[in-house]
Amino acid sequence: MSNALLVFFRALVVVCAVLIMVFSTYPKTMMVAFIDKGLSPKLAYVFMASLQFIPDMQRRARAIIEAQQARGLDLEANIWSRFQALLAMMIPLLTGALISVETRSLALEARGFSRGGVRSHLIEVPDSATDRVIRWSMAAIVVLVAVWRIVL
Amino acid sequence: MADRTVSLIEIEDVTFSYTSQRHEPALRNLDCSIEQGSFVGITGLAEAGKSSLCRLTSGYIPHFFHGEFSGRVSVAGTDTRETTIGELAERVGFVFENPFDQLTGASLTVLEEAAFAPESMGLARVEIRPRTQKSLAQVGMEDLADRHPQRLSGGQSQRLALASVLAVQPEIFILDEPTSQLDPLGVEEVFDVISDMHCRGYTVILVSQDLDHLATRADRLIVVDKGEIKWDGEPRNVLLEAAGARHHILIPDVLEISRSLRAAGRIASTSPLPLTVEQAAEELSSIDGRVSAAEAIAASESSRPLPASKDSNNELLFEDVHYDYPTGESAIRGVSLSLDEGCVCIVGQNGAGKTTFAKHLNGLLRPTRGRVLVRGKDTREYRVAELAREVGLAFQNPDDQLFRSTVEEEVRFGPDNVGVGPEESKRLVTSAMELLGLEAVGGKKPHDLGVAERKRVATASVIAMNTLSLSSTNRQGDRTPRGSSCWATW
Repeated sequence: MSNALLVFFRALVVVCAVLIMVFSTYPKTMMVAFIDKGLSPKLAYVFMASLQFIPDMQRRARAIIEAQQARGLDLEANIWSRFQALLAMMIPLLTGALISVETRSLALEARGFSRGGVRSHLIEVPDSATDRVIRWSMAAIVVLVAVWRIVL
Repeated sequence: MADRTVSLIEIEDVTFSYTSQRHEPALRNLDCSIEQGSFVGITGLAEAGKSSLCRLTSGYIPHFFHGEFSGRVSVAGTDTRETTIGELAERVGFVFENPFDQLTGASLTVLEEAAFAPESMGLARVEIRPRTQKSLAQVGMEDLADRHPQRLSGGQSQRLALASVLAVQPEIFILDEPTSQLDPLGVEEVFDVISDMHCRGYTVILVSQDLDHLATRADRLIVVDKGEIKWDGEPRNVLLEAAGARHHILIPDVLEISRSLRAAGRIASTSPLPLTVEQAAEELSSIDGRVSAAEAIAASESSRPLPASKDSNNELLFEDVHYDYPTGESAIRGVSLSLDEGCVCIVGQNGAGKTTFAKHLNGLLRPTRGRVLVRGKDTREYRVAELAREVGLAFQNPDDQLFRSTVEEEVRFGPDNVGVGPEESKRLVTSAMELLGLEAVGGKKPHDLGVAERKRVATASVIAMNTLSLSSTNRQGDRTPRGSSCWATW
């Protein structure tokens, strides 16, 4: 019982930490801060794009399912036809994604994405003294807690 | 050569074939030069080489699309082979056909999206915001700066793409069919912005099939055919020649009418041809005679009597149909109608509820209130696959459905699902392919075909199901079959 509670609270800590971050951080600001600290802008792009990738794919998948159902694809019949339904959905989903990737990569190219050199940002992420103090004390607390767990 | 002034864009004797279609050059011995500040319209049939011409100018050929390239292209004196797409992008802005795919997909607001290029170029922070806001203002989107890019209409999305390119401040704008996926309102919005840019001194190259809009705005029109320039010159003259040669581009009605009036001798052939409705109206009002101009035009078209109404058997019946999206937004409010044999067109702006209506025909959506009957079957009580036997629904984007390895198999997918016998299936497939002119490509892979042909494959696969009725949410340019009743939504 006490073990179960321990696991529960540990999980709760992780979930809360993630939730606080998700609700308090504007993703773009975080990425700008990371790029300022030396993260590759390409990696930052991948992160930002992945946020929109899932809703985008969901929308595509819905359109595909509707189009295939209109061609008589039965999603509620036996196993074999369900397997076929999977193919009828996955292939257009992947080819569609590949086609849009072509346009997107050209559009990025045309906006000077792979140009290299200095970049700037619309959003300014100031790193104040308070920010630095909090950041360093967080790191210090983690070290302290780790030492406390190991030694005591 | 010394006495010739060098144009902004020079294309000299270019022949290019894509790696995937080595035997068939997309461009053949093409020569063309474009002056600074001009507005060049490019038109032609599908697969004629219009896009290839654009890609050539922006350096996408040969840097992104590989293949056999000969000849020379220079933009502002620089050979495109000796530079990169990124460097060229500072001079040449490119707007693509699909309004959604060309957004970066990494921005959470319209302002961020438009600021993407200035950020990549390393512009000082204090300059980014004013420049971005200015380009948004140029396309009339300053009020939408905080909107999420995925919540824009097609026209707005396309204008945002334009603003993102404007923020780079290029001299040349290339737009490859920017309005073909937009509704009439979106088309007007985008054309107005483009005309405005031309007035500000940008060089504009615009590919479009919409000659009604293009011919009145461009100061030069090029018709591309089989990778070559067929006609090139002042839009009026080019259209006249194309109309004379019965070329398959869509000649504006205004021009056709004026041409027949001249041919009939009712207007002096020396008077300048009108291109806009206003000009045509002025010209027509000058005609006097016993037969009015309107009658003269009407006489040239065979009058089509309305089909005699037969016994109504209410094949499709909507009874006080309401539909609310799960978000609570209501899309259809109390539609009651019955449809019989014949051809019905449903028109309206984007978001008016046309597609929602069409999806009710085969049960993809079910009414939240009221009911829809397909040959007496209540759509709420049948599966979509069962209703698909009665109502064929062809969707707009062919890439949402094509997945078989040959065109013939693709077309057969529909009939096979409906469960007709192999003999019957073969017959249906053959006739559907004939109807849409796909006999020659039956053994090819659907994805090796151009967009126009892929659309026809998708439509054929629905026609082959031999349903009672056919509804297509496709746009212009698609042929609909005779025999079955059809509803087309635009």
